[in-house]
Amino acid sequence: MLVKDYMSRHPFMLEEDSSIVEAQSYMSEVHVRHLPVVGDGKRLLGLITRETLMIEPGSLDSLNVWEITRYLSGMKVKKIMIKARDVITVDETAAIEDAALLMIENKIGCLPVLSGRVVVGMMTQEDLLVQLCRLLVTRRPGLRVSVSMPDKPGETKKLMACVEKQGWEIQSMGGMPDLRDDTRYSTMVKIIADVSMEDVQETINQIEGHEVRDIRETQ
Amino acid sequence: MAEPTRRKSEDIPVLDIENLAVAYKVRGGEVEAVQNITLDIKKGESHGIVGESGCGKSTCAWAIINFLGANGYVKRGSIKFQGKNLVGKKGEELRRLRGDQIAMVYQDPMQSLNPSMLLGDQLKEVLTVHQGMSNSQAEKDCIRMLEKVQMPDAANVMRRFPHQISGGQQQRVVIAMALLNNPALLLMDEPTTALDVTVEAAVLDLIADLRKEFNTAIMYITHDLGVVARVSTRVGVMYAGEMVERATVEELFKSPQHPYTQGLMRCVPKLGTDRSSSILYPIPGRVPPPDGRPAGCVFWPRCDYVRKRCREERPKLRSIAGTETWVRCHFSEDIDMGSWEPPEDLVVPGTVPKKEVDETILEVKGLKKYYRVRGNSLKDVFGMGEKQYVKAVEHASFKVPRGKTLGIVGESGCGKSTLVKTIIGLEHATDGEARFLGFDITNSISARDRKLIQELQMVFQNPDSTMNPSYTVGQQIARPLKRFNVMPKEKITDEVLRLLRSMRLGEKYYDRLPRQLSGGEKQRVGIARALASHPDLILCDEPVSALDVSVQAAIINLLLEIQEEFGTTLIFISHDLSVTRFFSEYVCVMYLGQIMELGPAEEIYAPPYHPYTEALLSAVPIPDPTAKQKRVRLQGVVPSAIAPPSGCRLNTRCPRREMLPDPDICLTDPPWREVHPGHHIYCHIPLDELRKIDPVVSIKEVNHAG
Repeated sequence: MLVKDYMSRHPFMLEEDSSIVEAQSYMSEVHVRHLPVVGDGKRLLGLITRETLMIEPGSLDSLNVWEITRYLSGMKVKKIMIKARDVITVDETAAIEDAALLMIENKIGCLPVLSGRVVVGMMTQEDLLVQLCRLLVTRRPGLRVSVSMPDKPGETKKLMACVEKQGWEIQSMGGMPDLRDDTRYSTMVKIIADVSMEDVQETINQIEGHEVRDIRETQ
Repeated sequence: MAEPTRRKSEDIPVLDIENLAVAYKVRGGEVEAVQNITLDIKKGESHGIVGESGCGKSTCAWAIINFLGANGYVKRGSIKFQGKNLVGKKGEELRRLRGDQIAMVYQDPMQSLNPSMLLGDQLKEVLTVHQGMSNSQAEKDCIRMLEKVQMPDAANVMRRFPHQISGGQQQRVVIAMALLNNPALLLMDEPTTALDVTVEAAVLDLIADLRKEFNTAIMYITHDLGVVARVSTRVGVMYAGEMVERATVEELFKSPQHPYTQGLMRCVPKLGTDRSSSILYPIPGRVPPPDGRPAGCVFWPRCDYVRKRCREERPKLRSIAGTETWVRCHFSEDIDMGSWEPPEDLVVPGTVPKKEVDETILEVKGLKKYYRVRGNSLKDVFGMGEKQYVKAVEHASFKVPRGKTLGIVGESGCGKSTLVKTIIGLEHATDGEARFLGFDITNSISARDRKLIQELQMVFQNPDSTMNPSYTVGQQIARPLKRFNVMPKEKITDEVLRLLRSMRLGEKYYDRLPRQLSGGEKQRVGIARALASHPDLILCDEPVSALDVSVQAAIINLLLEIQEEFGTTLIFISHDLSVTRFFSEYVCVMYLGQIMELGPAEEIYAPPYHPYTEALLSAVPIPDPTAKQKRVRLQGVVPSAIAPPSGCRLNTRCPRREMLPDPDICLTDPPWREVHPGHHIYCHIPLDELRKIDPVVSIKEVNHAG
């Protein structure tokens, strides 16, 4: 699961000589909030976001509408963009969780994906959320089971063995430490099998230390 | 929860063309070559554009990148690429787009490659110039890309010149070059038309894989419905500069809505259907030139369903309720393709079974044709070097009964044309026997009796280069009549007119010059000329390959008709296996100068196959997306005919070689295995093994002909 497999390929891009008026209308037309600015060979020169397009009224010489219009129409993207050296980017071969970390640490909404210096795609928070959904919830209907288990090696194995013994199919699973109790671990398993919720709950509860916290059907 | 919803920005097509009209300024006004084109291509989608030549397909692609030349311009409409309008963009910006985000692949790879530069340098240039990449990194990237396009020995290819690799490989290099910059949009204009079927199949597989991997939007222009069925997700059908139908590929082939699309479907032969049901129905008339388009619907002069409204009102492209299909026809809902009846005046040949005759008209035994090649070492200059030969035809043996057709198929360079040229006497046979009506014909044409020449005539692939441009049609046809004294002088004109009529050309063509004729008409004149001397045997070297499908159907029907009427024997060379099946009683499959399989057509197209025949069949593009076709691909390139592999010539590429317990046996000459009397396979693999192979093509039978 690498960035290059899940990024949006062929992103919308801007040239540094475009006017910011053009940039603003392009952004709303194609429904994106971030546009990489590229030069020859799609090399990254900068980044335009909604925020960079917000012009401080204080920076204007006058509030005369005509003055403002003249000021804005003459302004080029390269003047307001975040310059390439300040843009936080990710390499296409990075893992998606690393991309997510980068976004969280820097409190940013998107990452231009580079191969060398060339922009090959964009990774946004939305992309990551889409992938999270795909990771945990796949298209086939089944049972979503949240299991709480001791945070010890070998516990997941027990759960797996139990599910396998029943002949159920695991479609996806994910786990993380329990946020309220650091001795326990929460695992979410999506099971596809022709069984009732009660049966699943009962079977899993029989494993020592395991407890089904939540079970529901998904479409 | 269902699949996460698609994001809004993902729905914006890479290419969005609306109401496009392209005009060319010509003397005395302007011509609208393309009108009212609307289409959109999304990421990772492959949009096919089909139509006959002169329909404006290429103009459409050129308009996108403003490649229209000094006199062409976009007259109306918008072309949006990634949401930005390209019409009216200035040179520099367009140049950058073309370099970085839009790539093109054309029909002839040699026109995109610089013959005087190493391939490696040309490829690297893309990266070093546009992306400022270092030379060594660019080299690595290029080799990796060449491997992605399945180029054998990629590192070595970098150090070769374009002429040192084959046509299919050249096209791969061009595709690799186009993809190096990771374009969002790839325009492909007939990229496989100049390639052999086997190479074409491999390139088409490649395009499909790359589309998925790079998520590139592809606009695929072709005249071949079979190719479209294989590579596209959606298809637009163009006719006379307009888009007449747009639909998903499945819908288009299942229920074509526009009469033109239906007509196209009826005039392509389909591999897999048996011969009797695969009658071709040509579309009458021809595509109108851009300045002579009729008022109303552009198709009405050729349409079987024309009504008053069609002549007066131009139909709009409208969506058919409940489908994704768009059609430009007033009455498409009323038209039922299944109830289509061929017009009454159309003579459908090939339906009457031919009489069985035992007389053999042509017998070839062990025919060989070698060409001497001179080496360029000093020894060779003095004639002391070892003599080298191109073994163009080796041990060709077959018989052709009177009144029947023998089809010869194979990849280019397999010796099919040489074989025919040797028979007709344009080449002197090196060894072997060839008897025509009992006369020896291994000598060259100058030594032949005139009567013999008269009985053997030829139709060539390219009618342009075989006609004297300063002779009128009448003179061209009269010439063989005079030369062979077929009839008294005063009757010659009548005979020419009769021939013209039988070619359905009419008397008004008598005084025309070749340049005033369309391709199909020229080919008819070529056939008339071949027929003029009342020959017993006509050799046709790819007579329909250069023609549009609707014309191709008409010419094939014409040849069949002539055969029925005059009892002429035909030898028909073609690289198109579906046409050959429809046309021939006997088929001979050649590879590298060697006949691989020989037998009645019906048996050639069903197991047991020769492994080479099997590979050829699985490569033929079938105009039916639901058809199941096995994927057997030949690896590597055709070896040199100067030093062909010993034993079975296919042994270096044979996909079935591992069926043999001892594959080394292929290095010895294989036996001629007889399946039935008259059906032979030249292979080491025992027939029982070959019989176990499944048929290559299986089609759910949908009979469009009604």
